[in-house]
Amino acid sequence: MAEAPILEVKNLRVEFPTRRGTLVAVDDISFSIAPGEVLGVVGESGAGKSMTGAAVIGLIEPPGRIAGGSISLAGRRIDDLPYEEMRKVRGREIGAIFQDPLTSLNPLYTIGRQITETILTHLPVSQAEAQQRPSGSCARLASPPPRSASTTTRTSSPAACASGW
Amino acid sequence: MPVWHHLRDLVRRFLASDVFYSFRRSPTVMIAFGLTLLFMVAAALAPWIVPHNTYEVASLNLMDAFLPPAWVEGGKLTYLLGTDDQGRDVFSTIVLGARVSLLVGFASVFLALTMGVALGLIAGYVGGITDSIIMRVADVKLSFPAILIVLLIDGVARGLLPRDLHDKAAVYVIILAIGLSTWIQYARTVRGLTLVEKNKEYVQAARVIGLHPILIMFRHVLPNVMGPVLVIGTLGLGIAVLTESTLSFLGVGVPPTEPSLGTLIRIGNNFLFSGEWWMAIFPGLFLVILVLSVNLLGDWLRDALNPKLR
Repeated sequence: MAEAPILEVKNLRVEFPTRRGTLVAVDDISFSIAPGEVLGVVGESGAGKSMTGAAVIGLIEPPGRIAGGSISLAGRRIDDLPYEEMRKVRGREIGAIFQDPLTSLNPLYTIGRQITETILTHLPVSQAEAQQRPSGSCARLASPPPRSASTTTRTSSPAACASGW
Repeated sequence: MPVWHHLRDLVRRFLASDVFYSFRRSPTVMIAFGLTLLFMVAAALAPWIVPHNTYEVASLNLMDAFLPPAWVEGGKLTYLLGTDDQGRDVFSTIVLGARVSLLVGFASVFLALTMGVALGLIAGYVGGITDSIIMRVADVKLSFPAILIVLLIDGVARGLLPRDLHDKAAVYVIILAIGLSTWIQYARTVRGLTLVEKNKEYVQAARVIGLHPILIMFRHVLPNVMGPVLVIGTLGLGIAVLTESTLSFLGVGVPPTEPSLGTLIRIGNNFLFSGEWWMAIFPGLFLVILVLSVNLLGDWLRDALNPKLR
């Protein structure tokens, strides 16, 4: 028996009420991911890949809703958490990277500032400490990012953020 | 990094920006900007730069009433644009009046902008029933003319406040009234833009990292919808100045002891057909130039901030 799963999804069902009855976007899906394990989900457009991901991280927009099943993160149910509780889990225990990572950056702010934002949101550290952390984690990457990333924005330097910041 | 370093960075970015480039290329806009700036500086420093303090009733000399402008026969050089029925220097009253007009304009735009932007952001971002309530109030408000609401608010204030208190508070009542009747434009625009922005990935990403919704709204969405708001604000300044003048012309605006441009035109209007044209024409001319300059700036800003029009 392998170790306890870090993420466990059981009989997940996501529904969207529409004029022509209920649309079932995700129908009875179950999977579990152990620590260190990578799971790839393959399917045609509209198969429900994104909706599964959105449900896990709690990003389903009303009127869509999780109609059944459960999602557990490290043994704790997260699909029925109140909004404020879920907010503390997001970015701290669970994250998401969208299809085009570049568009995940606000065009008006520097890349450095947006990376420290996650740290500042969840940890009681100062701005200066937060700025040290990303460069520390970047040192572990194969290609160290240009230092200028903390002073350039997404539109002025796409290469800077593609390189690992 | 020290503060001045940031500031220098900001200035350098502004000088290199497309907006500044298009500003330098248009002589009309530069003149409009210069005139607006001139009016604002003059208005801000008015009590110290006017040749005659017309608020000081004791300094007025009725013997000097109805003097024509200095270059017309019978005019005095100290009263460059002539005097009114009470011997007040027309030039001084115009500069002091522009101060009142601009104060009302800026303050009411600030009020409307703050209120409209905040409500529009909330309506667009939160959606659902909050959105419905805010936008239905706006729709109702849009179904009758702004000037009626201003008259209503002013009328209520007149009824509630004792007369001498109302004269003192008149300016604030007008600011409140104009502000409350013009926030809808900002709210509708910001709501529409917010609906677009909130589905973009950087907003989704901000939600994924667990940022508080209020922070997402004001830190991430707000700066991205500010462009059009600035344009409406600039154009709104012209409209607010005109609305205030209209009210003062109708006699429900600021009291005649501290006249705005509108009040001056109303006073001058009484004498227009008896030949004392300078009392109405000069304040009117100033008002036209001021509003025209501000509107030209607003028009230019709209084009400069919209890449599709270039």
